[in-house]
Amino acid sequence: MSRAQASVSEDTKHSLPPKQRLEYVASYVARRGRLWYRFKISFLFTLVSMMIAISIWFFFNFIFGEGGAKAIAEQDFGSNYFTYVLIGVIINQYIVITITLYMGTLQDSYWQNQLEMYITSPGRMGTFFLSSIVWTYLYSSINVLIYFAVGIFVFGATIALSPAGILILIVILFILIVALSGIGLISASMFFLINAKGDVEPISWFVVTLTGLVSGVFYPPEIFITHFPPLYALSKLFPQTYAIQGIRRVLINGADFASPEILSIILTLAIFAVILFPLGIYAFKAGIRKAEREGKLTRWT
Amino acid sequence: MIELSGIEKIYKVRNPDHRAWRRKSEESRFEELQALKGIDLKARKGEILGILGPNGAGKTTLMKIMAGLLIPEHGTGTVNGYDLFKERNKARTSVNLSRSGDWVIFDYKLSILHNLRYWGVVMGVPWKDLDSVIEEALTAVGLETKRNEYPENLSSGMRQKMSLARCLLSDRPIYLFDEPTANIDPISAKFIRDFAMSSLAGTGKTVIISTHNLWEAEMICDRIMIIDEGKKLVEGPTEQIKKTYGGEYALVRLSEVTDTLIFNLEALSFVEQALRMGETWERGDKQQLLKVTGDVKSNINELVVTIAIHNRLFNIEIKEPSLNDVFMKIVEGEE
Repeated sequence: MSRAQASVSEDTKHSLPPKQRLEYVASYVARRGRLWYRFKISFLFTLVSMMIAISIWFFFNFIFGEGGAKAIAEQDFGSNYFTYVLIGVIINQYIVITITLYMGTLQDSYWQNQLEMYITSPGRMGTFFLSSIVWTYLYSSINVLIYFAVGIFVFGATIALSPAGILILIVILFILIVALSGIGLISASMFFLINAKGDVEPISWFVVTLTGLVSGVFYPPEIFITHFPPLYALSKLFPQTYAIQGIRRVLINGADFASPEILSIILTLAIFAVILFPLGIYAFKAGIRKAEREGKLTRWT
Repeated sequence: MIELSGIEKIYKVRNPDHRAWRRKSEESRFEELQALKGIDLKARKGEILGILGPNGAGKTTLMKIMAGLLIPEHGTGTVNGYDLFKERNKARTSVNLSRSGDWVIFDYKLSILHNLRYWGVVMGVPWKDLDSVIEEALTAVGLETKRNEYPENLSSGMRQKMSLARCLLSDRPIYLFDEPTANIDPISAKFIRDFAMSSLAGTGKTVIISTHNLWEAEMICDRIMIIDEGKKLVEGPTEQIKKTYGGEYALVRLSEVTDTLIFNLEALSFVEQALRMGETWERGDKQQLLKVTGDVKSNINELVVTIAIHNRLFNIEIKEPSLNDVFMKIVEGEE
């Protein structure tokens, strides 16, 4: 057969060179974009839901803002509780997305009988997940920008953002994504390791639920020191606690790389990332290996 | 190109009789199902090997092991020279697997072209070659005029073709087809058979086809392997298997089949030998048909004379066995 791609070297066929990896990611994003466009009306509903969510926090601020302002002032986060909670809620979106992304992507490919195709492709699961991450963050970032824009221009949130601050945000978010990807991969491994194919997977459920409670999304975790110390200790076990704190320091206090607290947060997140990411890859590979042994890579064996 | 030795696969399947409230042990919740029992297989470059077997014989399990999607309990194997277990990724990317239900991977809201563009990139085709490769694949399956259609609007046969086109996007040395022409019209099926023979096997690709269509297997396979209940029953060149296991026979149409005629036919040395080997008479009373087995061609004169003495011979027809006859004989003989 005279094939156009016959010129591709033998090694290239077994793994993708960087240029083709980028083409893969771009093709995935284009495909998801086309599918999104087909169901574009759902974006309007998402937009309305976002407006309502921001409005709820804005009106909450009228009732609880005084107590909230006192609590955040003690931690040197200014006195605008609405700004504080807006940042927490937005970062929490990224956190939840990252933790559930791997399981969601794996589930989609499994139920659509695509998983075996990805496993036997030269890009394997790594490029597939990378593509899914890029699409999800592109899409989520549009939502986040809308959140911020509405929060700032409609509801009067005050953000202190400098070019150095943007760089710190990118660094913190990147390391956070790597660390949480470890948890996400462990969560995805449960699909095969404990056959968690229903709606609830215990690892992501545990982390996502506790993030809202202890990681400082809605209030500073320091309030537990006097009220319930074990929860404060628990909050320190999640990387997102440090990331939320760091991002608020940048967006509310205008902190830069000279801040010892920022450096300490980045270092702590890096330690989480170094431990959790390899652990996640190991668990995920173990899950796939189990499925390969049991013939469970597809619904129909 | 593919070599497997001593492959055994055991599935742990849910015991249908188990009831959780009876608090039985872990063993009783699951039972073992041995899908493959020591399978050896060799498929060479440029060859089409057919894997035949009844439902549940282990064909799909074998295909999945060759595609690197299933790890067997025992056995060794190489695919395109790569160890199936130690160089798993290289072995996997040497194989193109296409199954009859694979069209479900496509997004029904995207056109055939957009679906193939995506899967082409996933299968390792660079962007610069994508259009020409897709064009070639669509032409090969006869969908070149349907590129802008949506899968949701296609017939099941066309979806099957689309799935085959996906498989043809990446140029790999080994092609595994599971029921490649199921749901496809005869003209397209012929097209695909010709494609498998000339464009794939004809250019040095190894093609393995698992099929229930014995006529198709007979048409295109250089060698066949018959498996049942996880065991290999027969393997070899198609013609040789037909000769060894089929045996020719004569279909004799008579005015009357009498006991005397049967007695005299049984006295013929080649018929006697066939009967001793386990062949049996097949006698249709109404149509007065008699199936005489054995080396009919070499003894045709003797056969005609014997029948003519006792009966008015209307017609005698020497039949070659079909693969279907051989398959039935081998598989039923095992039961």
